[in-house]
Formats: sequence, structure tokens, C-alpha cells
Amino acid sequence: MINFLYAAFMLLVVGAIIVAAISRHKEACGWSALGFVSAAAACLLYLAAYVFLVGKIRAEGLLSLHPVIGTSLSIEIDPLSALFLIIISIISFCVTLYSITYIRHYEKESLLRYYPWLLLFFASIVGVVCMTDMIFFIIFWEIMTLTSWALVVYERENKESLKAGLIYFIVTHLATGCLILAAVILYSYTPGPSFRFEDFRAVLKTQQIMNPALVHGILALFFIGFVTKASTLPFGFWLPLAHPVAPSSFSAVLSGVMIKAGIYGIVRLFCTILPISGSSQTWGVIIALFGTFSIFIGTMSALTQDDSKRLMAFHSIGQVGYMFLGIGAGFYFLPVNSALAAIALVGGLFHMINHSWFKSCLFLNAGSVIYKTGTRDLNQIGGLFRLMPWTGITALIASLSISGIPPFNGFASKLLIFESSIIAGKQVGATILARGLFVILGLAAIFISAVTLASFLKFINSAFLGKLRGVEETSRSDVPRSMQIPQGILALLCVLFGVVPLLPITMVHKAISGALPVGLCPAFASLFGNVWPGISLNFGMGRVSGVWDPLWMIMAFLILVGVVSFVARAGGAKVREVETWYGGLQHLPADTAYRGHSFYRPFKQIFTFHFKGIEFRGLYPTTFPRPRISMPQGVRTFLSLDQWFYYPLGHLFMRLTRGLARSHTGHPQMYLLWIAVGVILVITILLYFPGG
Amino acid sequence: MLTLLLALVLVPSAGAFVCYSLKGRKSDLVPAILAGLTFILGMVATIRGYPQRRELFLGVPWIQWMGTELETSHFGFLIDPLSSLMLIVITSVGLFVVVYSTEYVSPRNRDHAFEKPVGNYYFWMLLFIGSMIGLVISPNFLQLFFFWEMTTICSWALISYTREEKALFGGFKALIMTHLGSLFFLAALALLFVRAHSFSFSALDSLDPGMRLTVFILLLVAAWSKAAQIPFFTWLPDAMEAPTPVSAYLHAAAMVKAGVYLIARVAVSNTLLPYEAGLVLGVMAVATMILAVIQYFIQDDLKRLLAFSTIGHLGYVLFGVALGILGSATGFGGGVLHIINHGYAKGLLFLSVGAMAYATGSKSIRELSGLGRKMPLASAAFVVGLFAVTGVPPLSCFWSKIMIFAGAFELGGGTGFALGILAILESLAAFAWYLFVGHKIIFGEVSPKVALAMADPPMAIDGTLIVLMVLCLAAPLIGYPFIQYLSVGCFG
Repeated sequence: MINFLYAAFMLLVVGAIIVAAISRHKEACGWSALGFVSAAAACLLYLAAYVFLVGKIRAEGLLSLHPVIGTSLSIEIDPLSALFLIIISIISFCVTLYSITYIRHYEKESLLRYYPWLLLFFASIVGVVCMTDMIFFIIFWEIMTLTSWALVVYERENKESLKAGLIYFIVTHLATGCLILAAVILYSYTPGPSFRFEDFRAVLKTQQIMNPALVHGILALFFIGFVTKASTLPFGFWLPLAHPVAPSSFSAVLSGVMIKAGIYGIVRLFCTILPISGSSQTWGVIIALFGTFSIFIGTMSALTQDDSKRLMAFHSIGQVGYMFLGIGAGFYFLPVNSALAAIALVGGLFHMINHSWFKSCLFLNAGSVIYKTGTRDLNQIGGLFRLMPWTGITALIASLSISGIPPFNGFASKLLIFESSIIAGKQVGATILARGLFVILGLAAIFISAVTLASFLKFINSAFLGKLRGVEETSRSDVPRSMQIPQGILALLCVLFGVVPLLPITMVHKAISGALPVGLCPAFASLFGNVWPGISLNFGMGRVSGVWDPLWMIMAFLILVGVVSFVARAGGAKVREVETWYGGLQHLPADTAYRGHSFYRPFKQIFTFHFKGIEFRGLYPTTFPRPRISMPQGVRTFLSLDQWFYYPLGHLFMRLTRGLARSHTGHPQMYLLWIAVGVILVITILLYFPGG
Repeated sequence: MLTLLLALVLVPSAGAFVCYSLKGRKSDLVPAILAGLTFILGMVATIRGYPQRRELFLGVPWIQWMGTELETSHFGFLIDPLSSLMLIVITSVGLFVVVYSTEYVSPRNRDHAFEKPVGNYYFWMLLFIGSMIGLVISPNFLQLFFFWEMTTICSWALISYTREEKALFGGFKALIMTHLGSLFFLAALALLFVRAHSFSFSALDSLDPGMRLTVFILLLVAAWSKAAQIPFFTWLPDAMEAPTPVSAYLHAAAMVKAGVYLIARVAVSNTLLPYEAGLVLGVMAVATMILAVIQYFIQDDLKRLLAFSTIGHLGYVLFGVALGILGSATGFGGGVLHIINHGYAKGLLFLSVGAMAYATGSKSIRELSGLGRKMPLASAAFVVGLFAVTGVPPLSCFWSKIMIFAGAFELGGGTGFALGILAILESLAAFAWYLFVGHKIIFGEVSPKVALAMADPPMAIDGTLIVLMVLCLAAPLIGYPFIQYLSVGCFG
């Protein structure tokens, strides 16, 4: 069975090599990349299905470096990893299909620097989620960073890309440094010694009692490492720089897949590696706090963005905050009320899957807009719905999903997160402070949901509605079919996961219960009810606390729509089309256009301020202080050892020898005197010391 | 086996004299053939010698006056995993550098046009290969010292090859400073002869503890001077006046590795080295690393940057050996593996910088930009080299660095933790700066100097870069079988 994993990996690696070889033939390159990725995705989906239906897969000690260093390649695919494999396979397929025609936008750049790195990226992230040995986890983690950097700097001559790529790689490498430090510290405590997750668990179990400060230090290092990759503020400042400059197909992968690797790290760490105890509670609160901070700042600053992809990048930061809020609440309440904790964790991870679908769809939409108009600037485009109806519809579906509007998938997962954090206020087993805190965090999250909707209304309005702008009338077709299909697939998944949430929730629940220690996670039926097609939440407080039956609601809504349209048709209401009225003034069309930057002006005015020389727009700094590296003169002098030691020593030596040279006067009499003195000295010494 | 090892030393050394007076096409071809022959002989010796430790002696006593009962009065060879590993690096990088030089050391070089005849260059280069090989297969300190001094002379000659004033000064400075260290080596030899009556590598074990530490410190100072560690690090940046293949070979892959080889050999052969020895070695190694990384940020010349990087990485090797002395087999394995990993990675970096200088005539970070467009292969080589040397998996130096970090933390205690954290910080700072420099020279707009450059250099240069890029990935696989036997046998 594990051969399917090897097959998927080999397909991607061999595919990368082959695609690199044929990179000059653009069409062939794209289609063969798609072939390899589809085959690999099929293997991964089959593998994931097996793991969900039958059980986890293990393979140990494949490449053992014992006894030189205590590490060996060990694979374990449990339902949590399988969940990620599903995300990876679907997103990789959609993105590769999309890239075939999208990459034509980059005429000047070579495909040699795109497809091979893309395929290697997929291979590395498959590796990340399947490892149970820390060294190999870090290896695949770094390969993932390396390949994504290569794609972020795809436009080699664009200064923005280069700066973003540099900051991205350095920041994530620093985060990996924290991971390595934490790993070797834990390694030093293992009896083996070993880098296996199980051995780390045993160490943490004993050290939690003996040396809790050490455990918190290690967890802090892991936290920084994973949270930087998952781009939670303030560590995730690289994301709004890197996502816009990457090719849109890869931005979809960055937001849809790579950020999730950070979340995988956190969940794996706190579920599987760390035994559940007081430390997981403390860190649950910390995760939830950082999450809510991201939700708030990320989404607020998205309101001020006029660059379509930068807007979505900020929303990625915000949505990851939602996931961390759910996950943090889950970890906090695990010892207190396991039902609440399970629902919160399920909410967080379910939101993660949903985010992959809708955010990737949004980035692909932005890419389609760029393909058609050539610009990311929302101020220069408009009315594209007429030209790109399919893209417009999928963008609308994805925008409503991300804003948490029923009946789409965002609503289902946000419902779980909101309910968990609000009902957390009623848990008598937790402190008043914690209960109040989670209620406040939940309220902030609910508020920001509305802000998300506002922000995406701006996006939809600026790009798709209004008068046609930014592209000539003559190009009257939507984007190519190979770009439409992936957007359609992802939008369909948004609708499907929203309308029938029970199926994905079952999978996520299985993932959580598999990752947590046995017996900690309540059974599915007791949490979510057994009634198809909706979910009824049971927080273990003796009654059902929330019911969501999307199918009934949709049916009711459709009936209502039918009734209203029948009435309108029967009444014979006439529709009149007129020019828009602008108060009777003479105007140019350009003056009255409601562009992207016109949205939310009052908000922008309130939240723009200066602080210590940095300008904040919408609570986010627009300029970063440049780090000045300068060395004080004293240090420079100290470092140049030549100046104050060697050269003076050399000069001293030369002076000494010149002084000695003066004794060579050239007169024979002097030399005879030296000889005489020397002979007398030697004879004296020989006679004086015995044994001479 | 004995004749094989004898041939291994004699072929390059005698071949050097043959090459001295060649002219024309032959003056490039014959050295390359000789280097290739040395490489093949080196590989055969390594494979046949694996994995045992063997000492072989010629029947003729060569230092008669020291008394024939002294085993070291016979000229001989030692082949074991440590010397095999060094042999692989020396012969392979030697071959690459000689092939590279056939194109680089020519009038077509834009950075510095080398006039024919170049017989002088190949004479010293092949003599250096021979003496370096002799150094690593020496069975005792005395013979090692003989070849140690030979390499010093070859280095001086090669640095000063262009006869310009700065080159002459650089060569002279290198000679004086490394020779200063050799005086300490001589003092150690004298002490060993007087107290232990033996020059064998394990002679330190038979000394009493105070004398053992003294002799170790004397040998350590000699190693520091050769490997450009604190306080002798100032000769290496000035030695960068040498032609780039010389810098790649002598001052990255081979000669400076002689110093760390000496200490590794002492650590492998002596089991009673005191704790203080490991401590001094480790602390000074980490101090050198930090000092070197601080100096990265003020360099404008690419080769000087790489020189400081070499100083830091030799610190890594010595740190690993120190961890071995203090008791960690993993750390020792990492340190020795770093010899081969760093040799290939730094060799690649130097040779790619040489290719850039060959085509554009400049080595300055300020003047170069946009090389990715003009010279894709040399740029790719630089990027692969920079990732390899800073330790990005799955490239070579990641494996040795992770072993060194794991070894440092495995030892535990305040020292292990502190030194390990400093080493990790150095790695991160070096990565950040290398990436910044790489971005600056490879990406971005094409600068005026680069615009005038020729396209990718000829195959002699390009082919070497391609092979080294592959080796940056494969180096840990090559080195692992050897360190497996070393670290487990001696420190396991």
C-alpha cells in the first residue's frame, strides 16, 4: 500500500526531470507536467481513501543513519496526513491544469524555472506530511521552502519579486533554524538518541514534570518555526510581499497548500508529540491569541489594499487566524470539556480545508483577471463580468464562501469556530479569565467576518461590476477552457462542502481522533448528530446547541425565489434601462467611476497614522525600517589583526635585524674581535660546566 | 598496494618536473592527463584500502641517524578511512582544478590575462598535489611534517604566480605565517622525540598528561596557522591574489584542510586526550566561526568573502573534532564529513566566481549584477554552491552541520548548548548574507561590466562546474561509508 506513496513521489520527481528536459516546447511541457501531477494526485487520493477507510500506514527505518546519528527515514500516514494529501492532490491538479495556459502571460521567462520547481514542491510537501522523523521532516520542509522561493522569484528582473523572495527565504530559514534548535535540544534528551516523534513524546512527558521551563522553551521554538510558515502576524509579514509577486497559479499553491504545512506542524506537535497537559492549555491560549491578532490586523488592512493579490494575501493571514482560533480553543478545552474541544479542533481544520478551496479559487480568479487585463491594480479595471462570466461566478462563490455566507463552506466551518468560542464562556471547568477571553476572541472573529465580506465586495465590485474598463471590447472571450475548469472545480467544492458538510466533517473528525491520544476525542455521532443531511452540534452540555441543515435552507430559499419571480412575472413589472444619473453635472466617465480606492475611505482615514517614522495604513505598516548593518570603528580595528599585531611585529623584527646588521661593519678587525671574544666565551663555558 | 601508494605520490611529483618545460598545446594537455591518472590511482587505493587501516613501509631506512630501532626511520604509508576520505577530495578536486586551469590560466582570461608559457604554474600545481597526497598517507608525524612544509612552499609559489606586487606580498605573508606555525610543529616533534621516543600518531598517549596537553597545544597552533584560524586568519584573505583555481584548490579544498586533518588524525589515534584539549579546540573553533561571519558583511570582493567563509567552515570541522574529543561520535562524524562536503561546495563557489571573473573581468559585488541572464550556468553554479555551503537540504553541508549540531547538544551541559547555539546562529547569519550577495550579483538588471561579458565560458570551465554541482548533492553519500567506520570505531 505504501508503494502508492513511493509511486506518487517518484512520479513527481521523475516528472520534474523530464519536464526540465523538454522545457523548450511550452505546450508539451505543460501537458506532460499535468500528466505526471494527475497520476501522482490519483495515487495520493487512493492512499488517502485507504487510510480513512482502513487505517494508518507505517514504514520504518528505511534509510537508517544509525549509529552515526540517530535518525532514519520513517513514514507514517495517519488520517491527519491523509487529510493534507487530499488537499495537496486536488490543488496540485487544479493549479497545474491552470498553469498550462496561464504561463503564457510570462512570455519572457523560461519554463525551465517553473514546472520542475512546481513538481518538486509538490513532492516535498507530500514528504513533509508523511514523516515521523524530525530530521527528514526538516529536510522536506527546507526543500519545500527552496522550491517555493525559486517560484516566488520567477520574474527575475522584477525588483519587487526579488525583494519579496529574499525576505521570504531569510525569514523562513530563520524559522527553520528555530525548528532545528528545538529538534537538537530534544534529541539531546532522548535516551537513544533519536529524532523520532515517539521518542520526543517520551522526553516531553518526563521533562514536563522535571523541567517545565525547558518544555515551554522548546514549544516556543517550534511555535515560532511553524507559525512563521503559516504566516500568522507578527511573524508572517513575508506573506503580503511574496504572494502578489509569485505567478498566480503558484500563489494559489502558496496560500492553499504551503501555509497549511505550518498548521500541520502545529497540530502534529500539540496532538501527537506533546502529551496533553497544562502546557498544551497554555499554548492553546497563546495560539488562539496570535490567531485572533492575525484575524483582526490581517483583515482590517485588507480593506485598504488596491492590489487584488495583496488583498487576498492579507485575507490568507486573516483566515489562518480563524484556523488558529479554533485550534487554540480546542487545545485549551481538551482537559476541560472534550466535546467542545473536539468541535473547535474540527472547526479549525475544516476551515483549513475550506480555505484551500476558496482561496486557491480566488487566486486563480485574480490570475484570470491578470491574464485578461495585464494588471493587478483594482483601480484600473472594471466590468469584467461581461467578458468573463465564468470567472465572475466562481469569484462570487469563492468570495461568499470566504465571508462565511450560507450555504457555502466557509459558513459551515466558521459556525463551528464561532459556536465553540462563544459557548466556551459557559464552561464551568475553566477559569473566568479564559472563558471571557474566548468569548471576546469569538466576538472579534464574528465581527471580522463582516469585514471580510466588505473587503470582497470591494474586490467583486471593482473587478467584475460596473463599466468595462482595462481591456478592449474586441477581446470578447473568457479565459481559455483549461483555466476555467480548475476554477470551476474549486468553486464546486466550495458549494459541495457547504451544502453537505457532514462528509468533510466526518473526515476531519477522523483525522483529529487519529492524531490525538486514544480515547480523548468523543465519537462523531455524539458531537455532530446522526441526522443526514445537516449537522447538529452537541457540546456535551446535555442538549443540542446548534443545528445547521443547509439543504432545507436552500430548498426554502429556492421556493421563496420561485414565488417572488412568479409574482413579478405575473404582475407584468416592466424593466426600464437608463443612463446612470450623476446629479445633472457635466462629467467625464472617468470622474464618476467608483474605483477600488474609493471604497471605505472613512475607515482608511481613521486607521492611517504615523508611529516612530513608520506609516501605518489600516493598522499595517507600509514601510519597513531597513536594517542598517554598520560596524563601529573599534570593532573593525580589533578585527584587522594585521594592523595592530602582525605588521607592527614585522616592523619591530625588521628594526631589530637592521640594528643587528650594524654589527657587520665590513672591517676585518671587527670580525677578528668577534671571533676572539667568541672563542674565549666557548672555552669558559666548556670548562665551567662539568662533563664538558 | 605499496607500489600503488608510491606511484600515487610519485606520479604527480615527477610529472611536475615533466610539465615544467612543456610548451604549446602539450602544456595544457599533459598536466590534465597526469591529474586524471592521479585521480584514478587515488580511487583505486581508496577502494582497495576500504575499510581497514593499513600501514606499509619501504624497506629502506631514510633517516639513518635517528637510530634504526625507531620505526619512523622508515619511509612508509598509511591508508585508513580518514586518509581515504582526504585522498578522494584531494585527487578529485585536483583533477577538476587542473582541467579548469587549462582554460582559465590563458591569455583569454579577462580578469588577468596569463601569458604563455604556463609550465611554471603546472609544475607547482602538480607538485602540490603530490605533496598533499604524501601528507595524508604519511604514517607518522615526521613524514607528515616533511610534506607539510612542501605544501607551504607550493602555496607560496602559486599565490605569487602573477608576480604582481600584491600577489608577491600575499604569498610572502602566507609563507611567513604558515611557517610560524610549522615552528610550533617542530617544537612538538622535538618534544615527542625526547619524551616518547616515537613519532607515531599514537605517541601522545604514551606521554604523561601535562606533556600530552602541551604537545597537543603545539600541534594545534600549527594546525591553526595552516587552517587560518584565530589568531592566524589574516593570511587567507590576502592569499586571494592567487589565480582562482589556486584559491579553489589550495585555500578551500586541500591545503587548509591539512591543518584540520592533522588534528583529526591526532584525535583518531589517541584515546587519552584530556577534556581541556577538546574544550580549547571547540571554543577557539566557534570563536573563529563567529569572527569570520562578522567579517562577511564588510567585504566587497567575492573571493575575500569566500575566504572568510572558508575560515568559518574550517572552524566547523575543528568544532566537530572537538566534539569527538569531548565524547560525541556524531559530532566527530559531522566534522570529518564536513571536510568533503565543504571541499566540493567551496570549490564550486570559487570556480563559479572564477568563471564570472573570466568572462567579465570583475570580482566586485558592487560592479556585478544581472549575471543570471548573461551567464546562466555560472550563476546556477554559484546558487547551488551557496545553498550547499550554508546547509540547505538536501545538499551536502546540511548533513554534516546537522550532525555537528546534534553532537554539540548531545554532549549537553552549558558548554555544549552554548557552542551549539552559537554555531546555529552563525549558520543562519551566513545564509542570510550569502543569499543577499547571490541575489545582488545574479538577479536584477544587467550591470555595465556584465553587459560587456562574453557568454558562458568554454567547456573546460563549464564542465567542471556541472560535475561539481552534481557532487554537491552526492558528497554525503561518498563520505558516509568512511565516517561510519571512523566515528563508530574510535568514538562509538
